[in-house]
Amino acid sequence: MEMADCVAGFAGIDIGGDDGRILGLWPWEPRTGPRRVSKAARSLHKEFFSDMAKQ
Amino acid sequence: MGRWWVVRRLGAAAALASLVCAAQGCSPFAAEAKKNGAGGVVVSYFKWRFEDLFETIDLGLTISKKPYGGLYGHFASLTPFGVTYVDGNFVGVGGGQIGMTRHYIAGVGALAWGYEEVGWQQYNKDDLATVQALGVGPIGLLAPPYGGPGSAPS
Repeated sequence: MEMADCVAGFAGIDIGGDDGRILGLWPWEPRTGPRRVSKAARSLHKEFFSDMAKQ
Repeated sequence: MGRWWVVRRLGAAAALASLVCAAQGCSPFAAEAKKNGAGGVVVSYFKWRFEDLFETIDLGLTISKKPYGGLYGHFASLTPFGVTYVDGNFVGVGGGQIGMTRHYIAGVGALAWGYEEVGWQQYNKDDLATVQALGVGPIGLLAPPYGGPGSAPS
């Protein structure tokens, strides 16, 4: 996604919302509070990496 | 219908996308022009392009006290392959920084689909709100979880 942000930036489009400030959030995501975590990410993390984290 | 037709169409599409983006508030040029004038916009434009370019490069070594394993890679998030789980200190150019910083990457990929979690500097690998968790590969990019537009944490 950083690559897309970099390429679009040359056309003046800041899809990363990070020009002049580093946000790492989409324009429609809330600027305050913790980032939202999707159910899919929780489930994939549990499936693949929770055992590795315990070792 | 020649090469210029394509160039004009691409230009019009880029201008339209810029307008839509500016209306959404994701183009900071208006604010920059108000603050520093036209000269400031030009300087900031090149500064921001350099920062964006810098964020696309990760080149270095990851060192950890604990042994980890990893054989994983992809080209532009399109061809994920392998498995990795590494949490250590990254030395080099990475996460938009130069030097040494904490780094975590966990990923699985089977070319068409993959999933990865990436954290830089300040993160808790058990708290997904502090890392970038996203699907990769042609199928993974279209299915949740969708990644954010920039590095996490910001």
